[in-house]
Order: sequence, then structure tokens, then C-alpha cells
Amino acid sequence: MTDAILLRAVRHNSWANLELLAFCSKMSASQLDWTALGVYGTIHATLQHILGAEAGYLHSLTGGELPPGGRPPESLMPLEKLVDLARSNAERIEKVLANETDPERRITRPSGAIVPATIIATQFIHHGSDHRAHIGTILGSHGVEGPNLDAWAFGRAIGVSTAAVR
Amino acid sequence: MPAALEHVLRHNAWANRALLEHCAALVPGALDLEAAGTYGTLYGTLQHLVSGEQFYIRLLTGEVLGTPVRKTERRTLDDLIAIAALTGSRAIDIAADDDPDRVIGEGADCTTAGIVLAQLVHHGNEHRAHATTILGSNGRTTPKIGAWTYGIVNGLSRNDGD
Repeated sequence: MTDAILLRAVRHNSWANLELLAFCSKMSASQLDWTALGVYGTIHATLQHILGAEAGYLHSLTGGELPPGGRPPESLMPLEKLVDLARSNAERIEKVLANETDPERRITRPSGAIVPATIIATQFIHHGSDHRAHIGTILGSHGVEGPNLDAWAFGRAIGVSTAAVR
Repeated sequence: MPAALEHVLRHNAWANRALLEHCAALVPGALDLEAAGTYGTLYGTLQHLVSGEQFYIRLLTGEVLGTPVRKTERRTLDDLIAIAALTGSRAIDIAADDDPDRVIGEGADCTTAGIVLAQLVHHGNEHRAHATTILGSNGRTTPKIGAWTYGIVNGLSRNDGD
């Protein structure tokens, strides 16, 4: 039972990334450079940070596997490449969760930090909502209403809810 | 990875408490700070964070934990800390036993227990991000409330994961 609830949260994260990317793909390059005080950076940089970090978490959880396109570059990737990375991250995190046999195993991160697999999975979920909120803030501060990325909308999208925003 | 779900919910409860305690130590006027594009004032965001979780627990169990938090009433941060502790702990218990496909509500207003719990996690992360954006954009220190810090504080991790 608890596995299925975690899967809901992970799938919501994957869905929200792709929804946000679809929304941002309709924006101009100059709009993607928008930012706001107190957030991570520009919209484009934040999108890349969300997905690049997820690829990094997966690298740690899988013992060094890279996404299909290789390690994401430091320079900004086109949004269509970020969509590919988001899809790949979504598939890979589900495989990790399905196959993890020792969730408390301790993993050494590139920084040298030693972190249990469960904490990397926790950070994976936290990190996405945290930075998508930054993009929502940037959009809002520029007078643009962003997409609805909450779990109610996710529930409707996958056909398990009819509930509206609460 | 069932243990991960427990940590996701424990991180949520811990991060709520860490943020609320951080804000309780600010001068009272700081609670009225705001930033464009976020939910509202810092206080309004904290109150919404806690009232939202109170509502999700009610949806899942029918229980109202603590006095209902209403948008029209200003509560002390100590009150909000106490309610968040109750809802955070209850969410962990619910997730351990509940059926994620259990239908809640009916007709045009139904969802499932799994979606409510996913929303609880998302809602907390999203509005805590709003609160830290308000703090940062107004030149205030922001608390470290990511899962890396949660791991260190709870003796699970050594050093920051980044």
C-alpha cells in the first residue's frame, strides 16, 4: 500500500514537470529569461536545474547510470531536450522504486556526502515542487498565470479524481 | 521503497516545524512581508500551509485536528506549530495503513486517498518555497529545509547531499 502512495507522489512530480515544460515551450526566449527576487534563477535555468538534479539523484540511486543522452551539460539545453530528459527521469525513477531492495543503503554522493537511498528519494520529490514553485512565482510576478500543477489536477489528468482545486 | 514514503512525510512534518519556528523567531512585522508571484504575506502563507494540511487530514479521516484554522482569524505561530505537529504525525499514520485507491467524495467532487496524500506533500513543498522566497527577496535568512538537511538533522545522512 505504501509503495502505491509513493508512486502517486513520484508520478505527480513527473507529470508536473512535463506540464510545466509544455507551458514554457510556448514562451519566447526572452520570457524564459525572466526571473524574480528570492528564487533559483531564470525560468530556463530553473527548469534545467530541476531535471539535471533529478538525473543526478538517479545517477546516485543507480550506482552511476547516466540518462540516455549522457550527463546533462552545464550550459542551457533547449526545452525539447529537457522534455526528453524529463521523460527519461520519469521512467528511471519508477524502475528504481520498483527494484530497490535495500532502501536504507548508504550512498556516497559526488560531494562526498553519505546519504541513505530513502533520503535521495525524499529529496527527489521535495526538489521538484520547490523549484516548480519558483517558476510559478516568476510567472506570477510578471503577471502570467502558470499551469495548475497540483495533485488535484494530476488526479483529474489520470482519471482518478473529479475534485477541483481546493 | 516503502521507507521512502515515510521519510517524505516525516520530511514534510519536520520542514513545516523548522519553517514555522524560524518565522516565530522573526520580529512580528516580518510576518507581513510578501513577494510578487507568491501566495500572499508570509503569515498568510504559513496559515494556508497549516490549514491546508488540516483540511487534507479531514478529507482522509473526517477528523479535525486542533481548532479549525480559518483564513479570517489570525492565529499565533505557536498554535500553527501545534496543529502542524498533529497533522504531520497523522499523515504518517494514515499512509502506513490507507488504501491509495480508496475513493473519497462522490460524483463531481471525488478523489482518492493516494491523490490527497500526494497533494499534501506537494502543497507543503510548494508553499514552503513561497515562504522562503518571501524571506530571501526581503533580505532575510532562509531556513534550510530540504531533504538533505532533514537527513543530517535526523542522523541519517553525513553532510549535505548537494
